Amino acid sequence: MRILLWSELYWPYIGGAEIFAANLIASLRGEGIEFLVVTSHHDRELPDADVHDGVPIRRLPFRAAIAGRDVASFIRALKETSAIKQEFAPDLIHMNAIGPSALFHLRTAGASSAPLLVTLQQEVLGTQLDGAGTLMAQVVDSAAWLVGCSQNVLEQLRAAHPAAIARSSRIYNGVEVPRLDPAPMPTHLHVLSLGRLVPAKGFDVALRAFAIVASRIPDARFTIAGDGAARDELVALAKELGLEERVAFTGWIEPDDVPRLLNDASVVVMPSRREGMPIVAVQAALMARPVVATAVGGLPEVVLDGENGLIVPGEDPESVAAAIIRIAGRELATTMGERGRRHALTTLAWSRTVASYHALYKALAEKATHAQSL
Amino acid sequence: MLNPSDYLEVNLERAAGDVIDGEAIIINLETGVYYSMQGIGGDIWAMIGARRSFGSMLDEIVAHYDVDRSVAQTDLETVAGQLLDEGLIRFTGSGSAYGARNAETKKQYATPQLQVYRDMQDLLALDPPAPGMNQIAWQRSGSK
Repeated sequence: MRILLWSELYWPYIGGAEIFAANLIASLRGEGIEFLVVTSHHDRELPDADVHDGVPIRRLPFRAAIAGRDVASFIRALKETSAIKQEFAPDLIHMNAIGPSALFHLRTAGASSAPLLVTLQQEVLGTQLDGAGTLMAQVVDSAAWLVGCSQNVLEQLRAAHPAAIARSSRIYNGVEVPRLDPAPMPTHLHVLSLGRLVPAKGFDVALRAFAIVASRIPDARFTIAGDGAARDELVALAKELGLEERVAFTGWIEPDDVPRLLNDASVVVMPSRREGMPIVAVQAALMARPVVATAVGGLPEVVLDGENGLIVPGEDPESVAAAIIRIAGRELATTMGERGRRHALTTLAWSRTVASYHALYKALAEKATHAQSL
Repeated sequence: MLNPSDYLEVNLERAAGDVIDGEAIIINLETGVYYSMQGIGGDIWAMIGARRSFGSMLDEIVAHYDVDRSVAQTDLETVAGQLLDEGLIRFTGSGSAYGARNAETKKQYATPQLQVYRDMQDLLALDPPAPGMNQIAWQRSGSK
C-alpha cells in the first residue's frame, strides 16, 4: 500500500502534529506500507527532495507561494504537486492537519484518484466550516474519511458540519509507553510546563500562577521546557515577577529526554488557550504526573478533573496557583499520578493509535480499489 | 444586468491570475483570498484577461459549448457579477474585438463556479512550529 502523507510541515520542524506524523510513519513502515511525505518548505532552506529515517520527503514552496501572493510560483508548485502525485500513484492520501498547503492538494485532485483521509489536529471553529467559501470546508467536503485527534475535536467537526458525521471517527494521538518507569515524587515542589513557547500554550499564565505559588512555598521551583517565538517575552515576564532564581528555561528537550524530565517534576501545568490532542498531557500521565490544565481541546479527555489532575478556568493565574498548591502534597500527587498512568495505558497508548490507523488505511484503500473495479 | 457592449478587464491593481490546465487560479492581492474556476470558468477568465466585451464572450461560449444562449448568458452574468463584487475585474471603456466562429465539435457545458478560499491568511497565521530546529537530534519517540 502506498500512502502519500501530506503534512503542512515536517522534520526538522517540530510540533505535536509533526512528531505524530513521523511516529505513525515509523510504526507502519514495517507493515508493508510505503510512505512519501509531501510538505512545505516554510522559512528554512531545506532540500526539495530529502530522506528522513528512510522515508522520502518532497518539499514544495507552498507557504511562500501563498504568502507571497505570486501566481507564477503558485502554478509552478501546482504543476510539481501534480507530477509527484502521478509519479507516486498513492492508494491513499493522508492529510495530517489542515493548513494552507491543502489548497495545492485540492487544486491537483485530478492527478490522483486516491481517497483522502484527513486527521484534524486542531480545534474546529464553526466559522471555518461556514459555507463553502473556506479551504477548511472544501477539504472536509472532499475527504473520504475524517479523524478527530480527540473526542472534542470530533464533536466540534460534527457540530459545525453535520454532513461529516457518517464519515468521521476519533483516534487519539497516543504516546508510546516510555521504557523509563515513573520515579517517586520529588521532595520539593517542582512545577513543569513543556511545549512550544507560543501564546496558545498559556505559559505566561503559568508564570503568573507560579509567582503566587512561590510566595507560599519558598522551595518551589518551576521549569519551562521548550522553545519558540514567545521565549523572550516569557523570560522577561519571569524577571518582571522576580522569579529569575526560581524559574529555569531549558530550551528544546529531545523527545527521548522527556520521560526523565517528567520524572523530576511534581506537577505539569498546561494553561492552554488552544489545543488539539495534548501529547504533553499524555506523556505526563504515562509518567504518573498529575496535570493542572484548562478545559481546552482534548485536555479534559486526558486530565480527568479530580482524578489525575485538576481542570482550571482559562486566563486565571489564581486558580492555577490554587490547583498547584492543592496538589503540592506528595501523597495526593502520587495518587493522582498513578490514576493518570492507568488511564493513559488503557486509553491513550500508541499501539492503539497505530492499529486504528492501519485498519483505516486498509479499509479506505480497499474500498477505493473496489469502487474503481466496478 | 450586463450589456453586450460592456467591456471587462482584470483589475490588475487588485488581482493576479492565470489559467493552468483550463483552470483559473486568481489571487486577491489586497486580501490574500484565493479563487479558482474550472472548465469554462478558465475560458471566461482568459477572455476577461483579453478585455473582451460581454457580448463577445457570450458569443464565444455559445460557439464552443453545447449550451443554450440564455443559460450561458445567465451563468456568465452570475460569474462576472461575482468577480466584480470581489473586486477582481472591472469595467473598461474599450477592449479587443473578436468574432466567434462555431466550433465543429462543441464541448460539454458545465455551469462555471467561482470557488473561494477566504481562510488562507487565517490558516497561515496559525502558530507554526518554531523555526530553527536543525540543531536538534530529532528522533521518534513512538516507533516500534
